[in-house]
Amino acid sequence: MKEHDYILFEDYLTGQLSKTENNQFQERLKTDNTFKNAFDTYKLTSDFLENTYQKEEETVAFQKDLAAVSNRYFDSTQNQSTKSKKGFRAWMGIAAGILLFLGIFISQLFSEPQYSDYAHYPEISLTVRGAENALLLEAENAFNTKDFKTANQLFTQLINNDSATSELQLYQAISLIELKKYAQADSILTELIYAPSVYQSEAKWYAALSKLKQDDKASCAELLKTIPEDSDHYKQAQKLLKKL
Amino acid sequence: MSEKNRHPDQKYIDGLLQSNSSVIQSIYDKFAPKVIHYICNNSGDKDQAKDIIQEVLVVIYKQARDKDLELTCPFDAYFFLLCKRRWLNELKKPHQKRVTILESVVSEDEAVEKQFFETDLFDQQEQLYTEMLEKIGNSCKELLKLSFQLPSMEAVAKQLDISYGYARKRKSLCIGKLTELIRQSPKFITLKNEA
Repeated sequence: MKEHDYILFEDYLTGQLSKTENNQFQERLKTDNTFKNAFDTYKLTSDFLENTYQKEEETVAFQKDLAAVSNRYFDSTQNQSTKSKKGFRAWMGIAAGILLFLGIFISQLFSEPQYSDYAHYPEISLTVRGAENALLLEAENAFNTKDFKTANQLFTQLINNDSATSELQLYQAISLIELKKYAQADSILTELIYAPSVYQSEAKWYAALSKLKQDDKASCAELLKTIPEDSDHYKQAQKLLKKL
Repeated sequence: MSEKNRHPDQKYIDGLLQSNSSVIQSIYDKFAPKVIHYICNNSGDKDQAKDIIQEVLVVIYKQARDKDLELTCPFDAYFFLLCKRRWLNELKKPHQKRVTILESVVSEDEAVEKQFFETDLFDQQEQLYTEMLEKIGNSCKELLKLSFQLPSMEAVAKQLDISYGYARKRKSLCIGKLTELIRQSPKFITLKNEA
């Protein structure tokens, strides 16, 4: 194909041709096989570039979220072999948990729903096997030991260091709720709710809990209603909604 | 495609498309063990299985997003076949010296075979286009990237400090150059015959 053919292809695809030129172009596609083949590949190439460059951010966001789930999955399968040794301690833990649960359950029967009744986040694990990132490890420890002030500072540092991920933002928001810095927490959570990530539902749940802690039951209920059925928090959300 | 041809496992495709964490988690819980077992028993390890699974899920995500992938067979068999194929290709690479298996990737089930074939073709096309994109030179690449990311060609021209007319001409010629490279590649001819 000659240079002017490619210019013609581009003009056709971007709607720059006049009506007559457009008709001539379409007529040529019907009659000239070589021309049609070249055009088809040009169009496929153009579509590929559009998907690659225009949707680059979406792809990166998806890959990040996927990696987070994958890391969690593979880390947990890696840990399974060591877990069995801890079986006895785990059972003791469960027994204690059941007692605690009964206590909480009985007390909840007679009380208003509280933030602390619902904010049960698991221990977080941010560091990837083999990777050394002291800051991440520190943040992880601070969060897991409920030192939310330090955790918040470290998350800010990490996010400013250009390692902002939805996961880090979520944990920072939880730390901020614990520190009663609601405006900051709510703003991060709102951002997460509207961005494509695996943490959308999580963000909705914690945004609702933040409102609950602020005693804004109406907003809490509104947020709870947006949690989709396939979310891990759906059942809890429905229960809390009933209580509200 | 009509609704009735769509397999109920389409929910996994939709979940990937929406980056839904619980769906992605359930894909791992339900389908990853079989893949890990296969790769670990065929000259690989868990880390390699982790990469293969992630790569295959990205391909499925892209095909769903860009080509409206609709599933007509169980996700399990389709996903396993894609992972298996990718792993066998990995073993064929020159730096891999531990090749111990030689088997073709086929399925007895026609619907699975067809679905697998479509995704595999999509994947190979993507790989070919990406490979050729690396060959067109940095100035073309930069112009194309801006052409598809900025709102207009006027903005592209401004950013690159060139005239609007020249920016448009360069865009056509750069895509043309990429088209030529793709059309001349032996892999393109093979893929065209397969399609």
